[in-house]
Amino acid sequence: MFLMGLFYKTTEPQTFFDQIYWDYANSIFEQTGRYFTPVQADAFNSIQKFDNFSFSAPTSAGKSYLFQELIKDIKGDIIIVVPSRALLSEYLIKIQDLVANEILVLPFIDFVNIRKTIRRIFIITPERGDELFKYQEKINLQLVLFDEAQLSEEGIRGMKFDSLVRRIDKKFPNVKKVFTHPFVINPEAQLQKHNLQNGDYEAYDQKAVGKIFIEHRNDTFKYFSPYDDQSRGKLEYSGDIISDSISNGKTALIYIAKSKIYDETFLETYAKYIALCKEITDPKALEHINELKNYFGENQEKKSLMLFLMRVGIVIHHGSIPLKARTIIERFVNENHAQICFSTSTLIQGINMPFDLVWINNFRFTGSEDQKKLSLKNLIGRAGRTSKLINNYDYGYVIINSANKNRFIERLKSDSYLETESILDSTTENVDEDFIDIINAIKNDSFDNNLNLTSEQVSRLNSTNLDQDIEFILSSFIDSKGIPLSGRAYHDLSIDIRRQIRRCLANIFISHLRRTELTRGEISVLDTAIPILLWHIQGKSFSEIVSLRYSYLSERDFRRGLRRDLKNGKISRKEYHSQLANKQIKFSCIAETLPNSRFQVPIPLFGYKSVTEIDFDLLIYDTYDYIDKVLSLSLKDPLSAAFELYYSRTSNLKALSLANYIRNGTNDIVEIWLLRYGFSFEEIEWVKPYILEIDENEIKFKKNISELFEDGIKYKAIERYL
Amino acid sequence: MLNKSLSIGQLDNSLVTHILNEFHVEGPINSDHLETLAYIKKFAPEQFQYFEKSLCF
Repeated sequence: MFLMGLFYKTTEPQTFFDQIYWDYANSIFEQTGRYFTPVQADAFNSIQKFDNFSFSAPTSAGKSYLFQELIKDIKGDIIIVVPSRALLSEYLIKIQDLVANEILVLPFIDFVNIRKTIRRIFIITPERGDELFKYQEKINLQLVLFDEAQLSEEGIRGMKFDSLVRRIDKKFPNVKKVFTHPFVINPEAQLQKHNLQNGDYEAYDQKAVGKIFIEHRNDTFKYFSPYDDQSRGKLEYSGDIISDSISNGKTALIYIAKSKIYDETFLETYAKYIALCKEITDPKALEHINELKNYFGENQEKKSLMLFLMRVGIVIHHGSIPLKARTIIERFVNENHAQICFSTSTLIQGINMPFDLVWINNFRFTGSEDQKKLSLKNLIGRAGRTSKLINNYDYGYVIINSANKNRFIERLKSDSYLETESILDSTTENVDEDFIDIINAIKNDSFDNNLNLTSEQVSRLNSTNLDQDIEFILSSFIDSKGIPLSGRAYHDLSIDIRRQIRRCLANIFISHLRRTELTRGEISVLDTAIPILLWHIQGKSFSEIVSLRYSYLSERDFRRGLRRDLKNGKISRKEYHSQLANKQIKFSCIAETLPNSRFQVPIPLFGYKSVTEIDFDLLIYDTYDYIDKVLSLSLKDPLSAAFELYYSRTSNLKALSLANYIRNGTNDIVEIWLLRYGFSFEEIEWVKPYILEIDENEIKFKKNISELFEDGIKYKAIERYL
Repeated sequence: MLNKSLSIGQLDNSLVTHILNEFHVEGPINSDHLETLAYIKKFAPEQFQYFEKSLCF
């Protein structure tokens, strides 16, 4: 029995009915020690009672608060499995703020700070779950929380997820497992597909926020109801609801295709709304903008549209924006500095950024029909903030284009199901040959946890004679003092040598695959990745790598020479502009995950434009994609494994150091330890001079560490280890 | 639910009573009712205030 059960936003009861609910709220408090909503209380009790609990609940049901309370209660170690690094980052910030410094919180599984740690919380994506089994004997695991567990339905990632669930159940049979999903009808599928015992499930359907639906066509907005519409399409909104909302200080999320952001056509399409946004003056908002400006390395020459828009309260959010930048943007939004957010699907999965109004102007969702329904419902869930205003019923607006109305209603009103059979148990016919190894390894539990490859891939690397290729790379990349080649020096090498390096790296990479050749597109990606890899292993920060790529692609030396000629009167201003306009941006292939046999032909990032037209934001997105998708997800493991295997055979220290450089981005032992403590390279740059000693037990800082206490951001990064 | 009288702020008390009763029995699970309440709050904010507090319980 409950009305809305939003006890956290009620006051003293005034009627008999209120009193009954008040008593109900108090009984929940007596039982759980918290003012939970009935849904939270029920889930909380089931989690206490059962070994395995799987549930679904709509957006805004208060799952985050429930998790926070669970995390506080558990006395042992906890693992939280999330589907994306963006959600991981959000969790990391929240949990670090929530728990005491004696609790180690890391975005991967590692045992460090042992002397000062009483328990551990690891937040990971399923891809990093293998690391758990390295610490099987050490970890005091008590709870594994699988958030947004509908990931189990997503192809290879779903297999990885299911494999992790099964391995945990097998190796840690007494550990409590909790699965959460939005909107699915059958959360019990998680228990069924893995035959998990002593479990319970619940599909909660209690909602906290109302929605008003509006269709849009030819500048006209009309109310409609997907449920019981007696308006016969005649209830028009007088005016433009988006303009009105923005003018009244409300916030709008506009869901659009990434291509519209990349080609900047969204600026024209939504010009009238953009024009309504006012310049930001709030010092805290300006601080976020400044942080982002420094991170990107924006200056007079390199101008970012993203930052320009942010200065008037408009943010852009998509998967190619660097994670750190996304975190800053999310903070900017959650502190109410943003009026409009142009977003792609990255925002769908769990990220907590509610808006007053959601305009779905792109109706393309990926995956199966069930996944499409879930994505749509998740997106709609962003409409309407659950405020903490006392006695306030919240609602939000969802706007769609009239052309999509029928499909929208159909998807909204139909149920979303999880498969009751794991992808691991289904047949793998017609699978791309590049994925066969990983599928076999997931099924047979045959991963090499140290090299992060499948056992089949390791054995292929071992059995191929790569010595000549490896030796050539070592002699080209590492000098006699063990210093790695710079990206600039790589560009200065002769074309023949660069070709040879590329050929050797391609040979190493391909030898871990089942194929014998890479496509032209794949080779081009590899080619572009090499200098980025070299800058990365030199420890260059993100802004430095972007800046170095900018200089290279925009022919900085040519431009400087031309400017010199103009200054010295060697050429006229007309000639200067003409030569500049005719100078093309150097070719750079767009980033693409490797291997991908369908990526046959190289695609230029900038087309055939003049160096004066280079798009700084596009370069930021592409550089992040190279670091994230190409270096980190595609090249790091096979390349470093090849050098490590070579080192085990030959004891060649250059090979070990290059393996370290590729895997960790550094060969410096202190820096490697700092990475294991969760510091980023940007943070290592300023924290390293203050390190006295560091090992798995603790970090000992020098006395002058107190110099950093004045800086809020730096203090926050180190305070957990002081 | 969406109809003309809702959009001009004509509040049907029996409708509100029905929704509150259903929430009392089933909990706030009916999206249609949540939508109706949103319309009432939008178009008849003053009347909505009378039961907004009870609704949150």
